Amino acid sequence: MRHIRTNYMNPYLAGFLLGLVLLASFVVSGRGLGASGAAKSVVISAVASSAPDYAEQSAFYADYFQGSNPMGSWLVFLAVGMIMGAFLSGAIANRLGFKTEHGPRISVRTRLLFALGGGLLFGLGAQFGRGCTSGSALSGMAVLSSGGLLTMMAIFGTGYLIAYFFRKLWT
Amino acid sequence: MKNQTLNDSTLLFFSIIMLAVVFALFTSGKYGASNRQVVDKLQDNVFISYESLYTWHSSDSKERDQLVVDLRPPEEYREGHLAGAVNIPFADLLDRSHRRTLKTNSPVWLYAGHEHVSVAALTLLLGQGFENVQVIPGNFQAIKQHVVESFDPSRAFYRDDKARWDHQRFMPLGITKEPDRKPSPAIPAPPEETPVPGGC
Amino acid sequence: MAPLIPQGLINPELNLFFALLIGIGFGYVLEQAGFSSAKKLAGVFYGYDFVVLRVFFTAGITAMTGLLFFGYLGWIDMDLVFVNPTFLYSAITGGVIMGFGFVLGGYCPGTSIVAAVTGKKDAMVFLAGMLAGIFLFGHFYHDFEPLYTGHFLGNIFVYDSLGMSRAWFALLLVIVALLAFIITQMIEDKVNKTASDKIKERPSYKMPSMLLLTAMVVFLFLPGERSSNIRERNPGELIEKIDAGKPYVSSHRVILEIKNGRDELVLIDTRQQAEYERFTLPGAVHIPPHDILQRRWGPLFRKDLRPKIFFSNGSSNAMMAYLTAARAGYDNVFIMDGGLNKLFQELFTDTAIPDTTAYNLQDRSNARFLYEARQFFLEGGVAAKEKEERPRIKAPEESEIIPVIGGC
Repeated sequence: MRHIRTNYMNPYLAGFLLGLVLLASFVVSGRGLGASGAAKSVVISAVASSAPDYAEQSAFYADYFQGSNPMGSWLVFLAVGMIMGAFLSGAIANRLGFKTEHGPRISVRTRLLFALGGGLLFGLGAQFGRGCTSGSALSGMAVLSSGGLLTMMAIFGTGYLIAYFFRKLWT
Repeated sequence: MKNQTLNDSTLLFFSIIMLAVVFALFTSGKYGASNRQVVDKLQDNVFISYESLYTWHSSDSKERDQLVVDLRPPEEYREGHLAGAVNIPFADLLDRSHRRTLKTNSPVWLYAGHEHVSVAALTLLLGQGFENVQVIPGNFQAIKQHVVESFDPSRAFYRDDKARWDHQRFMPLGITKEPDRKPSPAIPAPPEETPVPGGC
Repeated sequence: MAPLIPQGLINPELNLFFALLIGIGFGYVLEQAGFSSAKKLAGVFYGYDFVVLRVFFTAGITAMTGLLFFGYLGWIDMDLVFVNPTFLYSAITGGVIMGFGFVLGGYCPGTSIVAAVTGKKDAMVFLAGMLAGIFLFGHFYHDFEPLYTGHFLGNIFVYDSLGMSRAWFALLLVIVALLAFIITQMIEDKVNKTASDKIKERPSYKMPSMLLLTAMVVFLFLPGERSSNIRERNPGELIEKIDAGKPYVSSHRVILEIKNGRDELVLIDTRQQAEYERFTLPGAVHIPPHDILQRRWGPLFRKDLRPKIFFSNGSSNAMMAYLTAARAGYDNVFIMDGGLNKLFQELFTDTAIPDTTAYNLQDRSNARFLYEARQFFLEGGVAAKEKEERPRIKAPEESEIIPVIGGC
């Protein structure tokens, strides 16, 4: 049977604290949390600065050419903070170290391949959903936005529907 | 078995919220009627006619059923006011002593140096929960001229807030049918009006 | 009061600093919760570890409860809070794609950042894939655009979509979450074949659950009327302001605005509908006193930083509008002194050509100003400037809520 480490924080306490962080984000900046937005900023500024001719043809990069610096955005700073916070937590709990987690029935190579594919899908989906699990689903739930809750149900609904077919990956 | 940290932190969080709610419920008594109720009331006819004021003015003071309030500062009140009017300066409108004066069963009529000050007082009094309050239209000068000195029936339904001109004629906007049409050069004199004493 | 940055209570440049602080908290909690492990995360789909669901739901409900009460107490202005816009099919498509991404990749963007930082190679690969996915979206943006921007339903709330009251929906959501916690715990125990003595050792969550339920039930029964009262201005404060003459703006200022055609003021016509249709000042929007409190005008009064000038024929209707708005806590509202009557009297009845020998410089420049304005209006100068639509500010639909800032 799988061995689950127990030195993690109580999930409800962690959730409560995360809720307070989210609340603080609303109180201070009037917006929720988000992680995919920073990735979008990275892509936009990287592409638009290295291949401006290509980027100019797409409305997706329009904001970049309107003078706003995507790397100076709120979400990018949030992501930088996340990196610092996660490193801090990992260091305190002694969980730092390079490794690859994979299910017992697949190789490291397969795991990395699927991780790449999953990331690709998530990056694509987060654009349609206007935010990822944190930006759209979690923050949307806090303000009771229809779109946010819809996205959340679609994420988890799809996840449960297809989980059986990919069980080899994890169990 | 308990998770002490979770219990304590949630207890703290919800206690703060609940205390704030209780505090808010007890301290929000500044108004007697909600803003929405006040706007609804303002839609009714809150202005009395000069005719009824004239009736009031020419009646015997003992038969009067209305409380007329002069909202101007005491100096101006002393220089001249409607006979029988009570002075409650606008700045002290909500003072405790004045509140008691206003708490009557008879209708309260307000006037001031400017009509909009009377309207402001009316709005505030409605907000305090007073119901039977109305405004005498116009400023004190107009009231004096058209009611006290000589009653002019043509002004029985005077309103300060009536348009004095057909504005459209002077300021042609893009919406006129013939945009090139020059406005009529003849500028009619404004209806005779008591000069408004200075801006506020 | 809050949100602090959109309200301008904190220097906006500090916004990024706060983003960093909030990010640290976010990253720390995610890592502490165990979200740096893909196996733990994927467990939610296979029943062996529901930590994602627990953390996620608890966080969502905590923040929701906080926002409900903060909004009620007037601590936070919910009109200024970003509400995710709803693009119906785009949201569903995105969710489905992300569902696949979750099961295949085992991470979501936030958790992959956390995991990559703690050294998980699969998370680093996931992040690289995510960047590629976003690039792909940008590359085919043209083809995706109809779906992406189609079926926009506004920044709607789920309780409105379901036709429920907010308080009832919140209570329902809390009950659903608590039930989900209990049921998933049972599933988890079954899948992992947890020994019964271990189950007994588990902490009891009765107290936090009861606190949460109590709070939601209390919210259900809070008197609704008062919610607007807390944000309201004190009547004494209003009297002081009016007595000091602070709400009045000279009609000259309004003339200047019309003449220059700069968009510096918001002119608000408070007269009757018929009067407004017949004539109004250029660019003026029609809001009679009775409509001021409508929710659709909230964004105009709160978010538009330009001074709002109420006017009527005299000043009385404008005063009603002013007091209603000022009491509701809308700042930056004014009354055009003397109304249209005074404006027209000054412009069109005093026909004297400025006397260049006049002694007082102030009077002279005043007279010159009015003279020039009069020429301007009589020559149809306004009509020339007024080609644009009237009013400049479109009356929003009653139910529509305008978003302030974009999300991620």
